[in-house]
Amino acid sequence: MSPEVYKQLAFALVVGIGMIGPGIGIGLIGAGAVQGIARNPQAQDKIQSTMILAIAFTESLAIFALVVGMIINFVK
Amino acid sequence: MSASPNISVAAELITRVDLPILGTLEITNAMLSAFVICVFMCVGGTILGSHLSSTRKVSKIQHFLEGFLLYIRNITGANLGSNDIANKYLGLTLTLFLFIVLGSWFGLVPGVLDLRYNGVHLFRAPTTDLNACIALSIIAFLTVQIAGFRALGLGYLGKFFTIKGGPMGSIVGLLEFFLEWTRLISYSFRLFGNIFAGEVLIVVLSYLTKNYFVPLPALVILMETGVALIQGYVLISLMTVFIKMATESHDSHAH
Repeated sequence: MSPEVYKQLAFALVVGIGMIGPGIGIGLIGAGAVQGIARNPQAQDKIQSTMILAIAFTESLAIFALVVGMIINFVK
Repeated sequence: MSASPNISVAAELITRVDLPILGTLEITNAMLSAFVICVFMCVGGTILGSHLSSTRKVSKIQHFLEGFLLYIRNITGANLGSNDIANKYLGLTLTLFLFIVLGSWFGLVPGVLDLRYNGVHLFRAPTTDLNACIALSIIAFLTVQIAGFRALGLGYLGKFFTIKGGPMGSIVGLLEFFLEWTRLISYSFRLFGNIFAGEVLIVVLSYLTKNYFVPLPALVILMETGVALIQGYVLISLMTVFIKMATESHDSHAH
């Protein structure tokens, strides 16, 4: 296989595997927030801002994988 | 794959300027765009600011601006603990938010990224250049540290280098110290990755659907306007949460 193929394979693997964990994590955060809001609808504002913050932390891991993949694939 | 779309992670060089003492300054297209946005924000802010009225007759634009300002004040106030503290930081948080949002929207305006000068793209959204994102994250990082030192004095260092909690306490303190530095990476990579991935998505989708009449890139552009807003919101809320954590002393919060 040529280096080009390895690069694209690495890009696909890095992004694909790197998204698994954050995907599960964001799902758990969303589920927890929905449960919290269902039990106490008045706390929606507080729960929502905390949820977005937690999603931002989790999502940044996925973004790290994406950035690494892009650097592998697009930097000559 | 010679016909594939041209994507470059680094900003492209437009021209070099020779400065007397500092040496050569390389002007990239992202720098030029950031400069355009700064001028736009300064001029727009001055024009809007000179038309504000404090009487009861308020224009529609002023209503909108006040609502926007109060929204930012309230979300940062909820993180900081009180609206008075949020008013103190409002200049910084508003500017950061506006720069991130406008800097990301800049690349979404159709046609702007296609302008060329000597074969090089003339413009590029500033937040798709990692240098600009690192600059913004350094500003946020330094703000948190300065706020911590101003609130606690040298006692702020006691959060990281401590012997109070026994050996475990000092190890946790050291971990906190390194965690502080990793925020620089997470701030900048989050912003860069989100906005740059969006632009790449638009370029690739435009390339894939160029022979068909499918308005898919337009829908993605619509989504990316929302992503830019969320990134601005996330950066200022993270900054204010960390300011709150840095300014409260170690004894006051319960373990």
